[in-house]
Order: sequence, then structure tokens, then C-alpha cells
Amino acid sequence: MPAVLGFEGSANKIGVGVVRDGKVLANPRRTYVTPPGTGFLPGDTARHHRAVILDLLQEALTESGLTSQDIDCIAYTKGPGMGAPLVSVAVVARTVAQLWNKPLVGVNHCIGHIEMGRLITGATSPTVLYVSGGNTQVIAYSEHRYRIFGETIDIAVGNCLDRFARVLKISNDPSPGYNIEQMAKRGKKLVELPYTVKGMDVSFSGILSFIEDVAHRMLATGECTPEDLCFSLQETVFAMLVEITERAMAHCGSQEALIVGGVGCNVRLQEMMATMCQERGARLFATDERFCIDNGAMIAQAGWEMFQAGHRTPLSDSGVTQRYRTDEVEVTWRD
Amino acid sequence: MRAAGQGTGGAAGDADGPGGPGVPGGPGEAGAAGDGGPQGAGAARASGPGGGAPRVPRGSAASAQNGSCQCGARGAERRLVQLYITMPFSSPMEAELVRRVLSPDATPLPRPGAVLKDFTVSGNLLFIRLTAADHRQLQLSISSCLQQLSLLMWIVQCFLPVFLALLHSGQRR
Repeated sequence: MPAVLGFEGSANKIGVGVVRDGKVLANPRRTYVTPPGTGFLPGDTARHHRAVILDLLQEALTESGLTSQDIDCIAYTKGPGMGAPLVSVAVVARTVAQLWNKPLVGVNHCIGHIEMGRLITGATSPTVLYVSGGNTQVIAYSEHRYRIFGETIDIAVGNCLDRFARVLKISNDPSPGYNIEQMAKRGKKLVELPYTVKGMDVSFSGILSFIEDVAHRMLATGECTPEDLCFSLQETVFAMLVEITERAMAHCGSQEALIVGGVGCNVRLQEMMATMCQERGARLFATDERFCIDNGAMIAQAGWEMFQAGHRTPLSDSGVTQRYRTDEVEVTWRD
Repeated sequence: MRAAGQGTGGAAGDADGPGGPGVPGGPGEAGAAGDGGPQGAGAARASGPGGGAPRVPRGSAASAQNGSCQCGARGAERRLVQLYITMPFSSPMEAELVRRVLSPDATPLPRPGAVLKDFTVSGNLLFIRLTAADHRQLQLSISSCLQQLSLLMWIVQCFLPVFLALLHSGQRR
């Protein structure tokens, strides 16, 4: 019954999780929150992670009731993500692996989300919509790879939402996306925004540029409220995501859809996806904020699968990779 | 540990041209050099472990045998700024552990402005050399490097006693 300790810190969330045989034994997390109107920079984020990671590690061990001797493997996020935060966490993982004399496994962050989504929901072979501040991909498993069927050709949907939040100085606590979601519930008017789907792919930079340009003018003239803009942006970008997911499901003949990633917590996105799935006779799976948002347990879970399949990352290969494609990993733990 | 012919040394920062602060003067000290090459006749560097700071890679402009810098020949050659840090540990094992932890991130992607990092160990001393194309990049890298070292020290202090106890009792798996 191997137990895996996982470290995640590729963006502004840092988490340390413990997983053993499909059970999440611990999953503490901290978020680096910046003032309204600002985003998080790599150096500051790394500094935040370095300041809290040891406490998180102690918390994870205490919560799981395990000691260093009970841990069988150390997993960490190898990429993709922001360089400085990735390095700050990888350094800790390497040190702990050496001091405890445990094998090290570098995990692809996207695959961490997928494996945690599969574990929690029990979905067998879904079409995965992976949506977060850094990534937007439609993924399906085929022949030992998580294949990317569609993706953003510029910025991630979460990045679009976060940068819009800065325009309106919406609070980043607990996250800008969450606050946009709450404001959107009070929106009444749908403002027409550019809808950009290109085949299997999407583009969000145009809609972001547009809304950044018109927001202040429309608010100043009373044409709409901030809540209307939040509502309109959500409806438009989520409809784009539903379209490309449905296209991938039709291509793959899939009867299951799984939403993972921080934006996957959004209830409105889940509703829209559920409507599409219902119309197709398919099932929708989604997790709650404990596992949707970046966390250490998802890295531990993917690391557990990889460890069981015999994957090991030698110290000399344990550098981080800011650009690490989901389909670069050979998924040897699945048929 | 001082390099032969070295003066007081130890000042952090960068130096332009020959005759700069040169190599570190002893354990725990930092030093800086510019130009990526020898700093002059008085700043001879011992090479390899046990001899002080690692030998600086020779840039093509400053590789004269007598250590003088051929400024005229430099032309469009890139000037580099470097910082050396010598960090003592309580044992060679700790120094080597830290080196192995930091080394995987040492080789940067080939891109403009990347900072080159070298880590070597001699006994219980860890030698760190940071090389950058400009001062600002070096300053950022220094800050990050020192913070990482600080975190590593903290982790080692937390977990080393258990590690050593297990090692001595032969229970390490």
C-alpha cells in the first residue's frame, strides 16, 4: 500500500498532499492573493511558496498521521507553470527525497488534474475539459497518451477572467474567478461580446481586448452594470468551451465529460456543460473546489499511478519545465 | 580559503575590467568578477576543488596568458558579470546534498538574459558561481539563490537529525 507525498506550486496556489491507494489522507493548501487590480508575479509567488512550504509539509504529515518512513515516494510538479514557483517547490521535493531516501517522480500538472478527477468522480474514459488560469484544453485518452483535441490558441480562459477582474478591480480573494461568478449571478443584461471558436480550438485574447476597451465606457454611460459584464463574459466564454467539448465528444464517440481545473469549480460552467451532456445522453463529472483548484493531492495521486507503473525521475532529470505538454507523457499506467 | 596572491577580496557586486575584487577571500564570503576572465596578475585563481573558487571560464576577449584584458580587441564581445559565493556546511555530506538539489536547475534554457549557475563542492564547502550578461539579471538571481539556500538550510535543519539517526541505526531503506 504505497503512500505518496505530492508537492504542487506551479502558480499562486501551493499545496502538499498525501495519497495512499486511492485515498486522500491530507491536502493542505495556501493561496498567494494579490491586491485588487494586480496579478501575481513569479518572484513574489516563489517567495510566498518558500515561506509556507515547510509548514504545509508538517501539516500534511500530521493530518495524514504518517511519518517520513511511511512515505514511499515523493512526487512534485515538473511543469507546466511559472518558472520561479516551480523551482522553489522542486528544490524542496528533491531535498526531502534525499533526506528520506525516497524515489522522486516528476508529474505533469495537467495529468495531475486528470488523474485526480478520475479518482474522485470514478469516470472511466471521459472527454476532459481542463480549464484553469494557465491552461485550456480538451483532452481524451488514446493509446497511452492524453491527446489534446482542442485548446486555446492564445490565453487560457481563467487568464481571461482574471485579467478582466483586474480591469474592474474585483477582489482576488479568494480568487477573481469566484468573485466574477458571484457578480454574474446578479447580472441581468447580456452584452454581445466576440465569440471566437476556430474548429476544435478557441481564442480568448480578442474577447478580453474588447471587454477591456468597452468596459469603462459602458459603465460610465450606464449602459450596463459590472454584474452584467461579468454575466456576459461568462456566458460567452463558457459557451465557447461547451462547443469545443461537444465537438470532441462527437469526434471520439464519448459518453462522459469531466471538467477539471480551477475554472471547473464554476457552477454556471457546470450547468451549461450538463445541459449539453443531457442533450447528447452523456454523463457529466466534476469535482469540488478541494480538487478542482490546484492542490498537492492531485500531484500525489498522479505520482502514485506513475510510481506503481515504475516511473522514477533521477535527480539529474528533476529540473522543471515551464512548457510541458499534456501529450508528452507516456501514460503507462492505463491500458 | 584564499586564492594565491589574493588581496582582501570578498566584496559583493561586479567589477569592470581587470583589477576588480576578484575571487572570494574565504569561507562564507561572496565575490564578484566582470568580463568572465582572469582579473589580473594579482588575482590568480586555483582551479578545481580544494583550491578556492572554481576557475572562471575564459571569455575570448580576456583570455590573454598574462591575465590582462585586451579591451581593444573586445569590440562587440559580450561582457559578463559574475558573483561567487562560498558556503560552508557542517559536513561534506550536507554540502554535496545541497549541490545535488540545486544543480538540476543550473542549466538555463538558451535564451538572452539567462543566468548561468555553477555548483561545485570541495570538502564541506559549496561553491556557487552566477554568471549573467547584465547587472540586473545577476541581482535578481542572487536574491533568488540566497532565498533558496536559506530554505534548504531550514529543511536540512528540520529533517537532518532524523536522517542521521536512521543512517546510524542502519534503518535507511
